[in-house]
Amino acid sequence: MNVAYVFSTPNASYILEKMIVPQLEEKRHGANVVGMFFFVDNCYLLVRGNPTGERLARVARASGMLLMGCDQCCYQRAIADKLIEGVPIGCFPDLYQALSGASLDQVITL
Amino acid sequence: MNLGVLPKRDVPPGAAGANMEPMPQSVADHVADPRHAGPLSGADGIGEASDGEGRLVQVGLWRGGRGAVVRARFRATTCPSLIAFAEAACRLAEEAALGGPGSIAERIRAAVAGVHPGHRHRADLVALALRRALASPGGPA
Repeated sequence: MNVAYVFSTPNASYILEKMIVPQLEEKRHGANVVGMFFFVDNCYLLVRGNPTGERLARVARASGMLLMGCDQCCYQRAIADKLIEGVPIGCFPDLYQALSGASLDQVITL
Repeated sequence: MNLGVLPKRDVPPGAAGANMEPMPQSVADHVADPRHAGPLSGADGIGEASDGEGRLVQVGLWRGGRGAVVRARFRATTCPSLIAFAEAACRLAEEAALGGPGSIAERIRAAVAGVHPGHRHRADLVALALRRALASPGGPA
């Protein structure tokens, strides 16, 4: 099953750090994650040096999973030029375009 | 005590602070207060550019004596970096600050701080629209 995650609540950091990232690293998540999109303060996870974000980026480089931050959220927080190298930012059109080739079964908002 | 206008101090050429470029504003600053966003109807020249991926920017220029830009306005799709670059471009056009070293795109890029590396090329799109507006029939000979 192919899934994409949209992180829009304050719970995202905990769920990623304690559940999703370790499971992806250990290849026991149970679904193929094709993309993750980060809203509001969850974009801080994508800043260079953030431990969870760096772990996610390593997984993404190995699997081809998309990581993308909300552009307005990143610009409002002045972090758009401080993100982990290769992590793009964008809005819905960019997300849809980036995921257009993936056969998504579920989009899960956390 | 007079708290009105501070006395103007002369800054000798070459001294610290002389000929300094204004501090670039962030994308969020520009987007929060897009003073140059507005209708283009009545402009003496209008330029448009798009990237084929849904992003579109239009720049309108109003001319005064000798073709000087006295008013610049833009319309752009809802892309923060594009809006910020367009806002900066209109301000530079009104301040006659598009000359000097470097291309128009480079000056626009330098006027906006904190842009994601993948968005910096959007200044080229705005520069293209601005050049087209400058070259339109209402522009200087």
